[in-house]
Amino acid sequence: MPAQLLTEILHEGVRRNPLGIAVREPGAEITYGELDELVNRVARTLLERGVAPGDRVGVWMPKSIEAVAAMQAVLRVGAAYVPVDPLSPVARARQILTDSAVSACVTDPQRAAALSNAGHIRTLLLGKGGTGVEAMSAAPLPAAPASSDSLAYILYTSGSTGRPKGVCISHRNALAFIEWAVAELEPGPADRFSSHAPFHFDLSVLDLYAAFASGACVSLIPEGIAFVGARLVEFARRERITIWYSVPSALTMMMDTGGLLEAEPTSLRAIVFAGEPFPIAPLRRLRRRFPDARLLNLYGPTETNVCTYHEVFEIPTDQVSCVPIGRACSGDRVWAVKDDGHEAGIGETGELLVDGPTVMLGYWGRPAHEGPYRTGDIVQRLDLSNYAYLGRRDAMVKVRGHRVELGEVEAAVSAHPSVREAAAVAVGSGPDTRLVAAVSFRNGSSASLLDLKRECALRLPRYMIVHGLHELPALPRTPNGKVDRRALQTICEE
Amino acid sequence: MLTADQYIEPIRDYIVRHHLDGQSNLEAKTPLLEWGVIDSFALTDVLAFIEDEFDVAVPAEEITPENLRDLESIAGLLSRLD
Repeated sequence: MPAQLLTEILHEGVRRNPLGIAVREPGAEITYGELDELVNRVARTLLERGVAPGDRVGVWMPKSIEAVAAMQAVLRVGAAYVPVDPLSPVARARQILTDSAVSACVTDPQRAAALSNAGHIRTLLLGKGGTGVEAMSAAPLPAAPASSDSLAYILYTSGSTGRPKGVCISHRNALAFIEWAVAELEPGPADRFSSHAPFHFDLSVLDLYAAFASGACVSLIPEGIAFVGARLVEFARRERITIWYSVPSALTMMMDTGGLLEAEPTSLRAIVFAGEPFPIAPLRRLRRRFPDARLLNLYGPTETNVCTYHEVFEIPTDQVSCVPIGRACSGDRVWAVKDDGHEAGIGETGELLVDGPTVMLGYWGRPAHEGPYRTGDIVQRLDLSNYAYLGRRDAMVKVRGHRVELGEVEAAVSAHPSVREAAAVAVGSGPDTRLVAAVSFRNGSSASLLDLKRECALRLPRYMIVHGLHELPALPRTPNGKVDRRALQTICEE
Repeated sequence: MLTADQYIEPIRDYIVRHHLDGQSNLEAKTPLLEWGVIDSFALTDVLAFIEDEFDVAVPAEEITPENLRDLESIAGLLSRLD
């Protein structure tokens, strides 16, 4: 019988490989048996602190074995976890924890101190200098009341309103994707998954759960080296990674500055990527360098997780377009709808819609989502079931796989008292994509780039902080008075 | 053995010129990661500068948010590695 709850995935890993290594981090590792016990101890501590089934619990701490245990413990008590970027300023973390109305937050002593200064949020300390969860029993817990439609986790993503937008994922949503990924990659206890994405980013779901489902090992890549090409290549080789999953930007860095193409052969048998289009030239180089590895392009917004995939085989030398996003997976149905409301035929373009078991419950604090999810992505229907990504309907851009609503960046920059008017543009492409704020300041005042970064950091996720500032006497306008985005783009690209 | 300032000054100068607008006032305790002064991407470049400038190899396990929080913590890391 297929799993009903996400908690069953780790139980499966424990059954298959109790003595095998479940998770590795720099300088530490933990077996499935030990992880199972640690999770039970943390779960009991959560219960003791008053966390109840149906609650939300924040996890705000560095990417670590403890953070993995915390997320699993939250699930075991029947609650849902809310992972928060460990590098977020406390104001941003508090905004998310408050919005999702957590009943507690698992964190480390330093972050707990910052939280206590910022208002009352109950904390449970793990890791260095943490509370003694060792005193708790490691025996299995009675099953918590949860169903496959219960909330399992909330991932906060960019919204256009200035308020953080929490995507609510149920056990059923997550399991539909995990079961597809496991069937597709066929991992076993000998496999080593890389965990590149931070836990608040939906790419991390595959690494953790596909590993647990098969009793494989998942090796955590510290945040600090996530885009340091040479370190990543060294990590993949030293850790003997067999299944790599990341945004294309990380793989591009590994090729451009990390020597991935020149390095000794590695143990990689599958290279999986998602989050943004992979430019075709570096992808072709990757394909040639790893002729025996499977290359998979996964697609899906946080709201639907992965809903289509495309396996990359030989790439013709004259191909200039990106590889397709492919066809439906995870039990979903996808189709494109034209502007006239009719389904796109072969060769036609339209907005991609998704329906099926991975479509989110809804956004936290808003009415439940019903029916198919409109992605806002414009695609071309290539044949009966395959699609190619063309672009966005709106002003959303991608920066290294992260969704960025330019309007939200503009609102944050405009909050600085010296700013009269601001617009944000994304310049460059691939890993070199940068957010530039075009700003006209009030008479007699100005602000430095650092001032504007600070303003962004207080209000936005870190990946939405502007990289550059372009000062203008006034923003360029179209004849009917709107900000001339095309002109701005040209000015800022220079 | 260099003083904290002897570490901080060249790094401050490099970051302000290459990752800010050349005129921002970067202080020893300005949060570098939280404010996105160096994002995970710019980190490659800043690390390469540090390793080159001070002729030091920063081990992977030392590249942590705590050690890179601000100029002061980077100086602390470098004097420990020295």
